[in-house]
Amino acid sequence: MTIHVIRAFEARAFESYRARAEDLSIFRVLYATFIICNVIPIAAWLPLAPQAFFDPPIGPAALFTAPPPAIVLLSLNLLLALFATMLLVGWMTSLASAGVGLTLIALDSWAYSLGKINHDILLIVTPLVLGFSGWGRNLSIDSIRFPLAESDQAAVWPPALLALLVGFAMFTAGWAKATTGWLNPQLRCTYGHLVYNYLHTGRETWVGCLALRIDSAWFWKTADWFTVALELTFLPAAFDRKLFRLSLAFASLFHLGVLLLFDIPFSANIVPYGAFVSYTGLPCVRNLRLPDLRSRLKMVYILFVASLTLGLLAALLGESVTDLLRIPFDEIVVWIGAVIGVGSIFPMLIHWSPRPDVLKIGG
Amino acid sequence: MRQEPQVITVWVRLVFITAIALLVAQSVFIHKYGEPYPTITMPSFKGSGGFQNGRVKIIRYEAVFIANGEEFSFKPKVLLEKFPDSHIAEISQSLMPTPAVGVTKATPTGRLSRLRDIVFPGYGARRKSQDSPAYIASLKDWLRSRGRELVPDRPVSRVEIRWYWEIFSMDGNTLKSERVPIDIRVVTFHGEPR
Repeated sequence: MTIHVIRAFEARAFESYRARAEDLSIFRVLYATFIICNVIPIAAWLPLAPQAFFDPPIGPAALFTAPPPAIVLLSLNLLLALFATMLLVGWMTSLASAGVGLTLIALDSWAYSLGKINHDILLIVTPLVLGFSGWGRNLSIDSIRFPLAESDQAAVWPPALLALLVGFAMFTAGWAKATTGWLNPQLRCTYGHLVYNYLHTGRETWVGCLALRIDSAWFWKTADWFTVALELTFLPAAFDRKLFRLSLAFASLFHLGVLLLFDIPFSANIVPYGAFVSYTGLPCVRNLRLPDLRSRLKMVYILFVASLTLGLLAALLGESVTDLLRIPFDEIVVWIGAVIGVGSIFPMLIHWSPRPDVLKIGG
Repeated sequence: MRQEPQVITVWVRLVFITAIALLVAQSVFIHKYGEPYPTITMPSFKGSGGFQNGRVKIIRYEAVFIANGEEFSFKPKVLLEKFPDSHIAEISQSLMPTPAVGVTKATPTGRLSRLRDIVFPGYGARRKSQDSPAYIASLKDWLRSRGRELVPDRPVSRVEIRWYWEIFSMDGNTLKSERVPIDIRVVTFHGEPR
């Protein structure tokens, strides 16, 4: 009896994560674009740090006793540019996915070797997990080279696993808060962190300046409780795609609040959330038609050369493409996430149904 | 078109069971030894951020470069402007008078800790070598080069990293602050060539 209940729950949870390969392929293109334009280069500033600043956590960087020479970081960034470009055009997608994930781990290990971990891990696990999903099945060189049989359904387990990892990661933050005073009515934890961030770290935002003057215990306690509740509910929500997407929508608004108050643009979370968006349901995407094969190949070739050039340029100049162009890309991503979040909360609540929504997509 | 449910194979179950086991193991590890990298975690923003009894108490410092008796004071954000904002608080631990406040890394006492120090020789580098001549020399060299950039054409003879508590409280609609000095880390440059 128990095993039947578990199996039914398992089947329902997995089935709810059924997604179209086209949706994941569009996400793959967006993800790779983000890496090429905004992430590369990583840790280009590390050679400027003296030996005295070196203090890595347990991990790959702690296998060494000093930061690496600049040429190592440059080589890893060039490798990341190559893998990200392959991922963008969908050439050997599985290899490119693993390559992007592992190179990001190697580079971030060095970036965090001064002791601070920036928690952009979801950006890293995304290609490592979705590499198994079939996100290279469309909009890719692979789909031209090896046309597959008629099934545009992606594997269900990689998005489900990604949801579990996102849910768990958020849960860890909520748990840490809940057990260190955020639920205590006597403390104003959001306020305390705001003061620290504003005055010590020096992230002086206009909204933060206004918020510092709010002397209301209720206001700050509500902020504390809301934050803890949001982060803790992520994990149970991960067992159903609809609930999870609702959590993501609220989290997108939460990240906007964090950006406005703390000047922390957590785009490294917003981008992975994009794996759960049904892009093909959007009118602007639905009406798109792919050109014929010859034009497509030409387009892919141009895209490959252009993105590889951008990635290499960023790695060699030591500044990301968006930084070179003075585009606040992280902030823009957070704002876009919030807009999509607001846009999806109400339709999700109005058309709420306990059945998995994926069956509707195919119709 | 209704799709047939995908079969959940033993391998998929195994992947999920392994993932859940690793996530639990990682939580236990973090609880006992601190956060390694990589791990599946988010920023915790633990505790009250220094809020207590209606006041916020935070530790701060200013870097004062002294040239010909004249003082040039810089905030951490300026001193460490070549590094990302998010790293400033952690890097600042290297500028503390010894030992660093808030360093929570375990000291090597047991067999496991000794093994950890053999496998990961770089772990706890700050704690282990804060008083070593090489550590002090590297910090001195860096401060000297920052001095040349921040106070150009002045012979910087000394840098003082002045640490203090800053206590903030609300007075009506105004944020009041009070400073309590903690300690000073002094780095002198003897025979600095100009």
